[in-house]
Amino acid sequence: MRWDVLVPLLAYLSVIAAIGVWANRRLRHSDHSSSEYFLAGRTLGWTVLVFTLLTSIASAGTFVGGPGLGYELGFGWVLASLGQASAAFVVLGVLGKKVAILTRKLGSVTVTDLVRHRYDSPAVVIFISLATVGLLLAYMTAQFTGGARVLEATTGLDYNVVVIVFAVTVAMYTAFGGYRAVTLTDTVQGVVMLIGGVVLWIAVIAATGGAGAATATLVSDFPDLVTLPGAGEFTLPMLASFWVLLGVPVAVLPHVAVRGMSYRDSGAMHRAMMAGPAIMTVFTLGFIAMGPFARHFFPALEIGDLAVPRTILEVLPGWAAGTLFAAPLAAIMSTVDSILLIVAATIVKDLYQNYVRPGVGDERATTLSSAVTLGAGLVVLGLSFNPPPFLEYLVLFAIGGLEAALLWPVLFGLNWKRGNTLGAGLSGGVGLVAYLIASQVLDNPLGMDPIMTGLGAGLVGYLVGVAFGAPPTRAQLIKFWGTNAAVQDVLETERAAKGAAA
Amino acid sequence: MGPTAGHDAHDEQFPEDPRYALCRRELWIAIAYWAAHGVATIGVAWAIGGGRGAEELQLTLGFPSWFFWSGIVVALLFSLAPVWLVRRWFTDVSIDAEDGSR
Repeated sequence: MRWDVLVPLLAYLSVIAAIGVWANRRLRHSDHSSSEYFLAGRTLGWTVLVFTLLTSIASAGTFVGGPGLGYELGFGWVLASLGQASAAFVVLGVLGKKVAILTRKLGSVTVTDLVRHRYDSPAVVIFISLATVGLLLAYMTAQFTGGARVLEATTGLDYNVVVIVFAVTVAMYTAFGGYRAVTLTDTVQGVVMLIGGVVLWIAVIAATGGAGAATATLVSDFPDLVTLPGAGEFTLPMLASFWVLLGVPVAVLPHVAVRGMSYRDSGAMHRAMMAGPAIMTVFTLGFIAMGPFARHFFPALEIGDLAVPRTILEVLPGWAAGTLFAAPLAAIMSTVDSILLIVAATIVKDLYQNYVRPGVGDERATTLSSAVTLGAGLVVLGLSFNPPPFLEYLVLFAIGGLEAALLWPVLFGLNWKRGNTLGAGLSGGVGLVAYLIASQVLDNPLGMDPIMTGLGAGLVGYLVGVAFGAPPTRAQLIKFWGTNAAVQDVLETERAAKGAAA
Repeated sequence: MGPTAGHDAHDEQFPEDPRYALCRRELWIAIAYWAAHGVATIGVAWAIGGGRGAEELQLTLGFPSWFFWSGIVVALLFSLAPVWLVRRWFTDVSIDAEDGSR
């Protein structure tokens, strides 16, 4: 047991828990409970926005699994992973002010709710909700086990104990604090990561006597790690498909897209777009590029995911290592918490309130959301007791699946007036199935990541749907392009129709 | 709205929110930036290091040259470019449900 490492870590976890308690108090004193719980009342300023956005994208993938793959595959993977560097600009630009404006008009707090308004189809909404929940649970399992494995290996505590402590902390503050707790802790965690990324580089360069010395080790002992395509077979098509996987389609990931609904004004969005890419570049280079260099200290780690944690213990004193471990831990917690919230919103708002108990009140929905958040945390905890061998591959798989199902329905729904229900249904279904076949049965068709197959098939599905399906209704078009007065008229008509039917 | 409203929806006019035209321009800027970033990063890396063995490897400031110029230099340029892009091309508008700018 390394108490010098553990004490700062535990102190950090306590601070995070305290923020959850504080946010919960604030939640109880607010009015629009649902919007407050899921979107912090749509009041985020730019610093909170940029950190909550980036720490939701940069997860165990960036801080544990990414360096792990860098350790195995070399600089080719570091280059591929830089596709996420400009995420803040790309994601906020693609969702744009349109998503911010639209969700205010419609009162939406989830992507699925936008899909419901745009396509008016229970089949499409239920399919997308279930795909979202399933893939996000897989994603969270990768996050939990990644974090717990690292803690286990570095502190010497038993894996099962660590994963329980970890899961309970995250589920509790998310369940009780809601989105505001999540965004505030994300900001604290983002700052820790930013400092951690820089400090780690300084310490490693001091310990090796310069990047040149570490690279020299690689050139002589592991030449595959310093070349292109190199050990990871990063050919041009493969690099391009990672650029796609980590680029524009990230905007439609449900836990990312909600960030685009929750900022205060266009100034907050603009500043987050300006500052975000520099911060994400530091995250990416600071941690993932550390993977190949870890070979300098540990030529033959059995588990590549331990590259950064072991390097941290190697080059820093215990107390500093403990504080810095907060960074990967922070990354994981902030991703998991935002996803727990999405799962709760999907189950409670998109499925339960729409199709099971339409009349359920907002206060009860919020209570229910807390319960579902806790429940989902427990499900993931259960899955985490049987951890998968490679964390990063599970992360990439889940992201790709979500993108294959969601990209075209959301992107075309927002921006193309001819986009229709049949197109969305075909695109989501065909895209996800093609992705699953490409990733599970075929082995990287055409030398590209399966995401290309999924998105290609999904695009064809959407266009076929547009060619042969009924065009969108006037009401759907008004909701997505009309002025607020027109949108409110349509919503009023819908409420009246629902009332008459009931 | 008649019974065929769904089918001739494209012909019927309704007042559009003028802010969305702005959003569309910003969407294209974001996509173009993302594509340019990808082409620059992958292109520079491949031009310098693509298909070359470790024995031909050159170092720049301790990194493989192909990675230094793409993964570090291009990355830094593109992480600063948004400051200019946003100032030059992005417009401050109200994002409230009601268009308060008019």
